Amino acid sequence: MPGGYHGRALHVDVGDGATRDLPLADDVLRRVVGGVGLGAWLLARLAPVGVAPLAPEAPLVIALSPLVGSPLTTSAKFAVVAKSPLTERIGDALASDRFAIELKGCGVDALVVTGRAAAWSLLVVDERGARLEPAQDLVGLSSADAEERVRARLGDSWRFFGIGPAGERLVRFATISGDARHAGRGGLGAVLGSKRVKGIAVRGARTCPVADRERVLALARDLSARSLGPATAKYRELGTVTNLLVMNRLAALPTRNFQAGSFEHADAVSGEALHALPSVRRHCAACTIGCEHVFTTSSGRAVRMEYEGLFALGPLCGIGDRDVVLAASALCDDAGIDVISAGGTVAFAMECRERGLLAGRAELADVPAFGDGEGLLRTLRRIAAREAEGDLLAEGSRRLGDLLGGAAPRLAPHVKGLELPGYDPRAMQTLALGLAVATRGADHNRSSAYEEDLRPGADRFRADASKGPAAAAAEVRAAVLDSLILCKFLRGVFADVLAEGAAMLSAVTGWDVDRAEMERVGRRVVTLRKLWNVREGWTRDEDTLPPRLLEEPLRGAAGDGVTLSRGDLVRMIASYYAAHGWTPEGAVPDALVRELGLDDVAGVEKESP
Amino acid sequence: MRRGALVLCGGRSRRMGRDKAWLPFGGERLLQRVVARVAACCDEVVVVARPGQELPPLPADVRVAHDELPDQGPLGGLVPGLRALAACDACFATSCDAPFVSAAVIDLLFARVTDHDVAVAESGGFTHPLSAVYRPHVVPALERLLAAGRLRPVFLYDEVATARVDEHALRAVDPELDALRNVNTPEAYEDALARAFPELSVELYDIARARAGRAVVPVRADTLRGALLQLARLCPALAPDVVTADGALAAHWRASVGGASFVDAPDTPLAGDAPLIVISALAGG
Repeated sequence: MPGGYHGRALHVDVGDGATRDLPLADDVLRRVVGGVGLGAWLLARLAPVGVAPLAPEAPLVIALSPLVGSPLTTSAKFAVVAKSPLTERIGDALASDRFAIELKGCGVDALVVTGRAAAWSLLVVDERGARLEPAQDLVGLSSADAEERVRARLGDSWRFFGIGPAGERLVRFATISGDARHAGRGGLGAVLGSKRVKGIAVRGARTCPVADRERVLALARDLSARSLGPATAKYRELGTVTNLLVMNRLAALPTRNFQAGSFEHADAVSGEALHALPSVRRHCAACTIGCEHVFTTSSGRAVRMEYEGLFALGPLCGIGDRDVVLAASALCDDAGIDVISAGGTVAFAMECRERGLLAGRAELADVPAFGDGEGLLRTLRRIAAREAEGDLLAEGSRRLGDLLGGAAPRLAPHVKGLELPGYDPRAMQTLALGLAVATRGADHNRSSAYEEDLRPGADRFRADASKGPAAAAAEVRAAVLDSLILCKFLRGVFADVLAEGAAMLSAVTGWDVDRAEMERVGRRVVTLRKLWNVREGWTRDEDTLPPRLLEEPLRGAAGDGVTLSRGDLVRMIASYYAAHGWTPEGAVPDALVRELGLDDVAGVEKESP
Repeated sequence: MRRGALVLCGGRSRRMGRDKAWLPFGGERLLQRVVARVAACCDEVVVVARPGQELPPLPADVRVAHDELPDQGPLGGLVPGLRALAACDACFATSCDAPFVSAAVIDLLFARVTDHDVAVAESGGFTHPLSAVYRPHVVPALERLLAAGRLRPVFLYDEVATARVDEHALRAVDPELDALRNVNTPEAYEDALARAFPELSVELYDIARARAGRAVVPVRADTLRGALLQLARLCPALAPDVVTADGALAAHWRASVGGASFVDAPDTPLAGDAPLIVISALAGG
């Protein structure tokens, strides 16, 4: 067995409590490494074709990586992979916590959960295996409160990863979280909730040696030293909240459901305004960066805040009140809902109200107007509780738009059903491409292609064929980081993430991995996720952006009047498909499937791995 | 006539408080600017520095001579400079703190030295020994004066054939007498910048703003490098993580003119009507 792996996944059917070992062969591990790669491979092998995301047989995969437990900074991460109830395509989200280290200590590289428990349960996993414990007393609690209660019950050395009230009620953008870190996007909390599992508690101390300990230590020392340098200073000193004024200046700050790219009250809800409050900095487990800034409100509540929550619950909803945004973020954390999808869906409803598209809908009568802070908080509470307008908004913007019909769907801010992150695509047109084609929907973390838009000499307001290779290459790099798994905030630290990733993987596993193989891993993982989406019904029409973004010019000082036409987007997408070696229709040719070693998951129906 | 030029930069810069040779001026350091301007109209250039003085990078064909004794004033600097330029017929002498030295004035002084040993600019009743042209053969006279402790330039002019180029003649080619301006104090430096360059705003974001302690920094510059050099001077906390000492953005930083596309060419022209925006390249959340 290569270093860093146990060579097995644990499959738990919470319907009957049965567990089974899933051996993971060396060649499989080497092909997909871990994280989102391993998670996608297990999903492809175990999920029945066309499975409903919230059906008992739909698997929820928690995939570790060979680096988990090593001294490499930021490596205490895991991927959660399932069919997304929001997009009905692949949903993969990452989280950081000591949960990853404890789960690996249980002697597994992945945990797969299927079935539906007869009653609300806690899935307890340790070195002996897995068991279910009653969890009725945890129902209705936030994940943080449930975590506290579980650790009080089992012991402080246990780690917990679970859902809040929104996950219990199958809100389609519910999160799973532990130690305040969320696997946020795509509604994976609803998947766990559909299995009547409130959370997973893990503890384990089984060791998993690395192949070359001295080499790993040397690489870890070097990476840790660099992680404290200027490439991460922004995250350490201010956190991502400082992006808000930058995006506002670049006319890229989505405002009032993408009606504008800059917000007149940006200063009031900026990261700089937040930093006027008392704050502390937190680190994820095994992380030297410490990017998380937790602000104490005037009422004494400590609230973690990132840029994505700040934009989505602030400018996107027309909210210019710092205290409201913090309260909304705290509410989302407690409920266990994704701040981007929550803000995006509420902002969409707000615009529908503004345009009279809710007329005659009594159940949506309380949808607030843009800028109504109290209304925002009320609606967020109702989403978590699935009450009144919250019940429909809990379905996400795509389903709400389809329900409303008429002019509404063209205003819904989503791709494949996943709400857009905090970058107006018209203002960053390479990122626009990345958002349009990402397998999990409108997602900035699966391509991070905004770096290309900020490259000197690049024209961020122009769509052309050069963007395709840039977006594809960014996706490959991101897939490698998400499979290893290392934090994306290290990306500025690496001179060449593929070469350095290969060195780390080699030292941990003992494989002789070079840069070319690492790049092939990235391409394989990107294509694997695409193949799975194709299997689940993906069509070429899904790779697009909300119609309004292709029909209306951008409004905002630095980019006023900029457009992104449908034709331009189609041309960029064609260049992106070509860069990945896909057909002009976005299909994956059989020859490429074979070249990437994906024969065993391309079109394969359910069978044991 | 083979023209030499010598640029004195070995002064102590006491009133300025920092070495004037290194003061940013546009996209250059002050010494680099003066050297470039005299090189454009002279055949050979020598810089006269203090022993051990660190200088900004200079063109390969510019030689460096050194003061032989400290604190000898301009006459002390002329000697090693004129010795190094002995092959020239005459040599224009200036200092590194004269940012507006011009070919027109240099040409005028060379034209007036024809039948003399020295041609020196004169205005307001003062001679300007570092706006003057000297024949290399005055070196022995300079050495005698230095040995006698007679350091005032006027002693030389009394001893050798000197053409005094009056203000009227100077104004004919340099109406504001800019070529005679020296930058001796911080105030004079700011004034010179203001005469040379438009004011433009540099907008700072994320940790650049936090470290500088302000959101907007007005600078005088007309190129990207010029603006970044001024930014580094005015906000020392930005170096080296945001702006390098030589006027480039550090890794992971980006600059945009007006917020549209991003630029990195040092000579990118800037105008006062579009702010320079400095942001982190690590944009994502």
